[in-house]
Amino acid sequence: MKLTCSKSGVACVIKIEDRMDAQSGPDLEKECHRLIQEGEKLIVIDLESLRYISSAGLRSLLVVGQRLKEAGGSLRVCCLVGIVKQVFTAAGFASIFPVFDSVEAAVK
Amino acid sequence: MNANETIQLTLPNQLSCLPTAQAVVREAARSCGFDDAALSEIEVAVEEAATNVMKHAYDVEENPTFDIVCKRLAEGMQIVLREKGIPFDPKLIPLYKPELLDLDSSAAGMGFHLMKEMMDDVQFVNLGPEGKETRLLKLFKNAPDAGQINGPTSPAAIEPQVIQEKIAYDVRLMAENEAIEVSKCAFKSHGYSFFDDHIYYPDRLVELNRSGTMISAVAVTKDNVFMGHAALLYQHPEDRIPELTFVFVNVEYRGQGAFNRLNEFLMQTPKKRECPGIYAYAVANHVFTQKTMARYGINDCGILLATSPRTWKFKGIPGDATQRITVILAFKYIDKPKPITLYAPAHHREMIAKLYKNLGATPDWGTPPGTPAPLPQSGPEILTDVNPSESCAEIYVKQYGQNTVREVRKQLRCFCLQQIACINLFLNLEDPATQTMTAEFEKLGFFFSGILPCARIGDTLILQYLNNVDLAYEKIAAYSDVAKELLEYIRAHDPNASL
Repeated sequence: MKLTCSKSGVACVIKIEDRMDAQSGPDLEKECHRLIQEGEKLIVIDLESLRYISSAGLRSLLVVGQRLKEAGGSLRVCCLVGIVKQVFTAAGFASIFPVFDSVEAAVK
Repeated sequence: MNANETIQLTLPNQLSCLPTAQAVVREAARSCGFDDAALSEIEVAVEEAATNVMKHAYDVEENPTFDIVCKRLAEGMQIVLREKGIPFDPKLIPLYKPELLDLDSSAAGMGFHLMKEMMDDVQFVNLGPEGKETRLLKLFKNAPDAGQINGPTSPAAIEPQVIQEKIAYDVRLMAENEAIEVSKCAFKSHGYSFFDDHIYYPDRLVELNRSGTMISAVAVTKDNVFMGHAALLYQHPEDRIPELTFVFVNVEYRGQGAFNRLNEFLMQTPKKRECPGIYAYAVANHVFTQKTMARYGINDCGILLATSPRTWKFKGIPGDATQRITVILAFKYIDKPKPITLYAPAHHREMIAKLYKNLGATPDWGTPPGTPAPLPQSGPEILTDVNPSESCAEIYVKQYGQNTVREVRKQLRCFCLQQIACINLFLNLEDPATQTMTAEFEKLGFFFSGILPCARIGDTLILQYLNNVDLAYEKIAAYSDVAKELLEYIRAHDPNASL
């Protein structure tokens, strides 16, 4: 899994590439934990280049969302495609995180 | 993968092995014909199932493994994860409801939920002491029939068709560079079911033919395309007769009479060693080979019960695999039988005479000069062979002497302690002592099996001993009337048959 962080207005955009599974999920949690500790309140997860996600990856998103909520912030998700969109939807995650079609829409 | 083929993988119970598991299953599924979307769904389900095993089946200090078995089915693919971890009750998996998910949720049960979402069926099976299985089933979108699933590259699709019209071909000795074709053809026609594994080693075939221990004949088309093979093989340096063996013809050339011509060629080929006759074995869990031998005048003369493990498989031939394999022994004289005087034990003489008659021989029945026949003062000369892979041994009494029975008994005990299942005893019918000594060996538990002319130690009477072998006579398939009668005769003399 490759993580790329960038700033877009008040939002911190994290682009995730490749896979998000039982092995790589904790890496996202660590990175987001660091950003939350630095004071970030809005994190946008860009999943356009993510080609695989499992329940372990979803759990990492859930943990990040919980921490942001505790910190008074929020997590947004954008650019879901393929199996990632399928798994995300099947697990009901679209009902707990705002989902956007593009990064631009998510950071507004 | 073709229908019913499996790929099995054993992995350490470590999360770092997860990508390996997923990669193997993904490729297996790809070879079954699943599209990219289905491959991803399968990959997710496998991760959920595998991480479930890795996290919950074993304690941390354990260092176990688990198996993943992918099986191609007619309608899709089954993936089974098999482990021997701690028992668990699938009913205790929390019911995951996506519609009730919120940010404060633990998301317990999500993995199992995704497994079910991604696959067509998920089952947890408790195997008791054998552990547990997670069985995942993925169906093809438009579940095609088996023929469509096999596709154009399946063996069934490329299986050569039998050539209907008669073709011209030659039969000759095998050239050394054809040994590889012989090995390939052996595998294609019989799998690895030949008891003697020489045939699967081309270099051995070359050496055996060079030395005259084996005579390989091949049938080839006029364009020199390999069609089939048959061989005569001398099993021991002192053997007088070779075994007709390694007979097979490529599928497309069956029905051309190649076996007949190979057989005739081998009979007529000048040999470096004497060859008054040939013998052959035919398995008795089916009658196909027995019929073929009878057609070519290789006639039954013995039945060796339970000589080979029941685990031997016969490619393409259905048969009973529930007990050790019995073989029919058959013989054919190449030369006209020479006048010979044999000393058959009186209580088996009638059956022995029938068997010789079946081979076209009429030996004289001698009477020993004394009763019992005098034995040499020296010790006996006994030869033994053991084949551990078949759990079968042979004892040859080459020369009687003082304490012959005790020596045979000692050897028998030695084989029994090695847990050899089947022990065959060969007695020289040309030796007058056999007439009286046979009963002594029968007291040890040996019983009648048949005869073999011109064998290693002369014309022989064969007795056999079964070391705690469970044998159902009714499962033995004998083809000829003589074989059927002999089987009943053996059964009547088998001390274990009535137990």
